[in-house]
Amino acid sequence: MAAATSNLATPPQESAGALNWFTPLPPARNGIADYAAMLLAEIARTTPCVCYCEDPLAETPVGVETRDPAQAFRHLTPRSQILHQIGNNRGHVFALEALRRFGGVSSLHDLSLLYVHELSTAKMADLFGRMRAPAPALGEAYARHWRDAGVKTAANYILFDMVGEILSCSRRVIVHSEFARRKLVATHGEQAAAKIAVIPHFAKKPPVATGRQARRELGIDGEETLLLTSGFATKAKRFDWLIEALDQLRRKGRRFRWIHAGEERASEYALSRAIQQRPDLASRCEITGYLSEDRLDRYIAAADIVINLRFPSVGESSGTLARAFSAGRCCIVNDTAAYAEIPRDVVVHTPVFGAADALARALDQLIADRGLRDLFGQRARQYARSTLSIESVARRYLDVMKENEAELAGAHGERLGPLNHLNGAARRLKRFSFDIEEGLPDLSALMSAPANDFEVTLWFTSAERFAGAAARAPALIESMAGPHIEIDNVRLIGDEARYDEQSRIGLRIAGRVCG
Amino acid sequence: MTTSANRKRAAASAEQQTLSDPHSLRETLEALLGPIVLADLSFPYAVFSEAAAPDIVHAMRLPRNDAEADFLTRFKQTGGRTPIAIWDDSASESSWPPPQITQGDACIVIGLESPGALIACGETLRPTQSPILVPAPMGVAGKERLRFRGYRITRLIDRNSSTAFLLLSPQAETGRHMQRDADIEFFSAGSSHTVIDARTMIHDGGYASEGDAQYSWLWTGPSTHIRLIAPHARGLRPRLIELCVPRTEDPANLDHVTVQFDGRPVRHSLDRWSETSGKISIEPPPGEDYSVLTLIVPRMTPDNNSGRLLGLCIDKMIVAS
Repeated sequence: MAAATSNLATPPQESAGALNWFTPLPPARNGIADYAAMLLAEIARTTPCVCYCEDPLAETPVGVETRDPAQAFRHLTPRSQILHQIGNNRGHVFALEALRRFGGVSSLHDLSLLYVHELSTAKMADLFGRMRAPAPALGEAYARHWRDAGVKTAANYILFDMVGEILSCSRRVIVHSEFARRKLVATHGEQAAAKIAVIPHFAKKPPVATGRQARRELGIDGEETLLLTSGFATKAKRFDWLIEALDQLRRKGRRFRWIHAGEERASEYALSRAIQQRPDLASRCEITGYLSEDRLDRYIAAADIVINLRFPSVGESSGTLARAFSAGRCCIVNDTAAYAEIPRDVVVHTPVFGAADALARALDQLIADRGLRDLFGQRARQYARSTLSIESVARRYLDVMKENEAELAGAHGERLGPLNHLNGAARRLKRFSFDIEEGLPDLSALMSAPANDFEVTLWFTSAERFAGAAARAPALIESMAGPHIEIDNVRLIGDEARYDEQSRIGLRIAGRVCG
Repeated sequence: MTTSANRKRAAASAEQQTLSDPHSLRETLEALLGPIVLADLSFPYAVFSEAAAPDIVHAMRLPRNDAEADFLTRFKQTGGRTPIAIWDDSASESSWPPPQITQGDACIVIGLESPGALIACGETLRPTQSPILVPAPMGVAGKERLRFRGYRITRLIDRNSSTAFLLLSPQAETGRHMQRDADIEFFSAGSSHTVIDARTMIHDGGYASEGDAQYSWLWTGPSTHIRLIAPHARGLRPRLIELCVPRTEDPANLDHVTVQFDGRPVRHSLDRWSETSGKISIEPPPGEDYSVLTLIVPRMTPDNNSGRLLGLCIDKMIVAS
């Protein structure tokens, strides 16, 4: 008899008090699976987690049990804390079905979910019915074209987002930009706003390789200015603008090399052909094809400027961009949708009108000025380490889950559960007060990690002094903060306590430190 | 003469005999009732999987919550050939028996998983006029009195263990409440282990069983996972489950098989018979709910002849309760 072997076993973990995830996980080739795995690992450090995943062999952090989502009903109760990662592809069908059955909090990664609804709907008639909900006449016409003639166009995916069901099934919905929140509220009404929380996508830890090492490994000249684009070459990534801008720069004699670290989809945008039409530019370009995450990281580390254009944008986030921030790269984005929310000192924003010319001017400056590139790179790295740090994002997820737990407990007349006892001390309010005579304090230096909510009051002895300070520093608030500080509220207050002295004007700034 | 009258006569005749010889549970039931079909409403506990084979139809009682009902209707019985029958006793058009249960000359015996289930649905089942078979609660095998109005109770006791079943046979209401001790009959269950052949397995995610009444097997596939109902033989949750795997095309499927019980990961051990065969043993964690065993293999191999994707070949599940 052969010796008995035993592989596996995650220790059993009780469901009570655990945060129950419905999400795809690696090795699924799905960006949200990678995102969820990293977030799960971070949250599981402080919070018991259980993961319901279609792939029982999914890679979970130590101590996190993978369970069969089809048998989730055996473990979940109406008071269970549930988090669904919802995207618009096949890997999320089971999470969508679980949301319908069990409710919970949803993290919404796409603002159009028509495709995943197509995949998960047993009867297309139901889907056609839902298409009629937002605009009955329009929905009826498009549903009829689809049903009777098999006509389905890209317009369907823009007009019928199917997010209404997510909003109605979820107790809370997490989106990843203000743009996404505004779009959902505009489409689904003000009542949606109460459910929505905005938590940005986190930035991955920076790549291990330095720029110099990466260039050596990739065989890239150390002195060359390297411009990088990445991912599937879609039309919305505006290679037309970039090619036009780079062509202008070549004509001006600027030296650079452009690498597209990703795959070409000729059916969507014939990138090679567009480049070949500019022979001079073509000699400076390369398309790598599909790259592993690790290899992509090396290209990012090697780059001088990462160009991440998008128009029109549907509110998506870019993983490459967040990684470029971590790596301290100077990045260029379009001033649109969620990209417009990135602080102005972290990335270079270029307009979407007159885009190619503006891009050419921005690149011209950045190629010529290494110091300027480094400045943006440093701010980007700081932004990644603070606001976009995984620790900060995980805490914000837990905040949402705790609020949800409190509501659930209230609804069931119960005491708060374990999520509300975790990290209880982590979000103390820090209060500062300064009498301003001359210069303004550097909030960025005052408030470093660990994360806290803060309230700072700046006292001015007179309105004149306040006006003077404001005149000397027009962007008064921004100048005091840094990329890791988020300001929620600013207001002017009077000083009633100091009756024996001259009345003062106070500027009270409330916000939070991330990271 | 009607079939019903035949059955009653056979039953009456059988009751006059003393069943002193060792009989299986099924033989004992047939001696009492004549030919039977067992409608196993204990699904998914599948209490009677072995005891009443082959004429057994597993049926699911509704209503249940949607998630559970959807999950359970994935399963197929008779080695993966036949859907689970459904009986919704809340439906306005509820009719007995469900279409999958064909009666012929046989008496339909309804199996339930516990006395609790009997209390829950006994009244609903009464109009069917079918005998009901239910595991006796531990400790009442021959001692305590258990009554159920309108039914005559026969205790069926295994000579080799303390296992007992209660057989409730409907009797006409007399208008006066009859108090009567239960009859006692004995049977012999044989081994304390329940052996489920591939052809009687209830599973989701495998191909239909192959072979014949003497020997059968089934292949997992095309999915990398298979879910099997682990029967609660005699009403008891399994203590040990052994799955015999006479063949896999890829040894990695034995080396790296992953096992879940009730949807949660559990440890298992592998008794290797050869590079491509062995026995997988699982000790289920304690619990009270019905039992679902899931195997997940890493590699599926296309079969040269059929083109099917094959994982593990399973021929037996041995359950110790």
